[in-house]
Amino acid sequence: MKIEAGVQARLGTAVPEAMLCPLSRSETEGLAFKAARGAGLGWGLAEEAAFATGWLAAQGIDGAGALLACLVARMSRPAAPPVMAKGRWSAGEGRALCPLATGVALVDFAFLEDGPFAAKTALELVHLPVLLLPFLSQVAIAKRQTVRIDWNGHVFDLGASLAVQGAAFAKFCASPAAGLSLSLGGPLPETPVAPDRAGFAAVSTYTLSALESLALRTTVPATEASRQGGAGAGTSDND
Amino acid sequence: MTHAAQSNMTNMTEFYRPPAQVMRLSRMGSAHPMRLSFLRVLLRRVQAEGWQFTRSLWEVDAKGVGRAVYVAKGPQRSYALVAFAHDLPDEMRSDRVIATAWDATFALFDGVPTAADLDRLQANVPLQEAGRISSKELCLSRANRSVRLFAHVVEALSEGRQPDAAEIASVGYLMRTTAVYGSGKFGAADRAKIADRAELSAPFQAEMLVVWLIRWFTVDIVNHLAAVRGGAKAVPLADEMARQLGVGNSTGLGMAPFLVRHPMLLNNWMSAREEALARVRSLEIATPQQSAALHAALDAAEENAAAWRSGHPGQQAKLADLRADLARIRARLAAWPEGPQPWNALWLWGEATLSEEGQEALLALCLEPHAEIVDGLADCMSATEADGFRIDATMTIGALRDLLQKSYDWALKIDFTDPAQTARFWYVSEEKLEPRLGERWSEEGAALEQPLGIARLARALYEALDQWPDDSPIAEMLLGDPDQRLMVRRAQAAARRPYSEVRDNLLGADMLPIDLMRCKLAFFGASHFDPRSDKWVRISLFRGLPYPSELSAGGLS
Repeated sequence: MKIEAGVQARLGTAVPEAMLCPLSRSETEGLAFKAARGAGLGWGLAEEAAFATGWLAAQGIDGAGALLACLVARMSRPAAPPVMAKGRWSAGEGRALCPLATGVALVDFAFLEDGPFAAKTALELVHLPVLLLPFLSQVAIAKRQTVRIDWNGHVFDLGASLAVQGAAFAKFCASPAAGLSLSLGGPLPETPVAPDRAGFAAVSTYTLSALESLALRTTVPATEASRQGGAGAGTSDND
Repeated sequence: MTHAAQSNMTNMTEFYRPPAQVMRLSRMGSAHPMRLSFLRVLLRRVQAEGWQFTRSLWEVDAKGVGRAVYVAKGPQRSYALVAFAHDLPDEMRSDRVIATAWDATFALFDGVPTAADLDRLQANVPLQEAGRISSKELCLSRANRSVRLFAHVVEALSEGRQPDAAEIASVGYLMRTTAVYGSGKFGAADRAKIADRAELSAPFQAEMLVVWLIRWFTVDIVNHLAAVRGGAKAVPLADEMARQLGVGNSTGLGMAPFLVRHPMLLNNWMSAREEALARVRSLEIATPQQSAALHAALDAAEENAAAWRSGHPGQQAKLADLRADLARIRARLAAWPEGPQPWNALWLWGEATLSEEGQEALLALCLEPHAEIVDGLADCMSATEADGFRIDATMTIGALRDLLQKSYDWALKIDFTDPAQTARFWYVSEEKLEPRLGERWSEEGAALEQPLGIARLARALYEALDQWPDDSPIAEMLLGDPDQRLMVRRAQAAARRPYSEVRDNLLGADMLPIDLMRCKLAFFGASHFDPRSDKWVRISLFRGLPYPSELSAGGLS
């Protein structure tokens, strides 16, 4: 596939408007769901990928581009589940944690005794940390507390949605993050109203076509028999 | 809680039908439209709130090509159907989703469109799936003529006479929609934009409004073409003729997976309807007014059943059941009401006596006289699906096993080693990106199966649990076996939503997709369900119901 080149560089960079496709949230999530499945994720994880992509886009972040990069990385080397030691999660073997697998596990384990939010937990190296944010927001909502991200001396508090976080935050989102740790912060502020389509992140034509090609892998080519019989029609509609 | 209230609540449980009875495909495939059907909800609201309807634009030429705008003005907001009329050659007319041109195309605009909006829509709406609409639009739709009836009506009107009533009755619509897209499709506004608006919060209200306004358009376009052809001689379609015309809808497999993909919505639809039935059954008396309303509803049901035609053998058998059962109900009502809880007595008699088709028709009849205890349930029929998204991964393996044994007992009983139980597979076609049903043992593509065989997924999860200690949290399993994630999420949601699963094997050799479609369409309010095959169906919407222009003048029948 010709997807790898330049995907990382595109994250967080401005794309000319002519190259942007304003999709609805349901289209964005539907595309993410199918592409994730096409890239080999289980259906349930593909649902999480769709949720994450839609959540990021609703915050004005190019979630689809991040998902594409994540899927491409997983296709070149399948992601292993995070190795959980108390206070420290890693991918092992010097690899970076997959943000989808890690994000989902953070939510799953958040409510267990000795879970990752019982005390501060360091994530050794995370690929595409921006994709963690939707899952951390789920934790924040469920715990009714903000999730505090410590990253190289910067502190970001995440609630139900993303407040403006500044240049350091943009840098955090855009590159693999080392030296990241998570903990619970203060009480959750009131949930702000979801932004309208105006603030919704469009998808670049590049990302769109790459995700669509992944999505196509979930489909079955037609045969003449399936064309005739598959939808059950086939009689004339000129009656 | 007082003792009386408590005993009253305890007693209610006997009036609910269990999911094991309600959620079977054959019964769902016998569903009838009723008070809580979405088009009825729409009509009640627009009447109660005194909505105003106007045709604000009609620019259609002598060939019937052009555009029109119909505005629905409610107490807080307006919505406009933007219609594009086309001159479609017969050889291009297809109801299938693979079609590329139609007799008419539509969008529902959120507000009143400007000329610039109309031009933008004109460049996109006639292209349907190949165009783009925006978050200013709520729906995208298209319709094809019923060629025979459309031509007959135009010809008759142009010659100064009304069309043949028998012809009108045999088809029932001038145009049939072949898709009504909403909820963010092709760039349209997401559901979230409208979910909090009182007038659109019930399911499919925007889509129902589209179809209702299309019905108005179909009458306008035949009147227009008749006037063009007949000049001064032409007459408009008489109101009593127009009343017998609904809007047809033609739909294939694409609709069938919807109820499986939206278990919370299915649960809320079914729960509302079953709650309505339980409330009626629990009533101590039937007043003379209620009894009269029940008889009126039966009259209408018999009239409807008499006019209901289908060439499909399965549906013909069901229609025979229905007609015979309506006659039995009429006979039973001769000595009704009598005794305590007369509604429950009637219902229990029906369960013991009638076919599934007749029982579901009786359900619709029993709800009809009870606006005051039924109609408010329409507010409980939508669903915020994000609410069930987060898995409770602290649940133990043992607890999940118990949950599956309780909520999916029906699935665990199916013998999936029998090839007939996995004879079909659901997939998405590469060509049209639409759902299809394949034969697993003779067709390619089963490796790309969609996750719609819920019974088998439940079984697979149940077996996977054996790999894990009973007291370990499912978080551990999901970490090691993420493929179980979909079914774990679904099972946890189902445990709190008893009517969320179709309790049949959707992969089985004998499964009929039209059963799923009939259930969904009955909730829309569709009548005259007419399968063209096991996977393809035509129905009618709004037939016999008022037009927008009638509502402010008269009441709803």
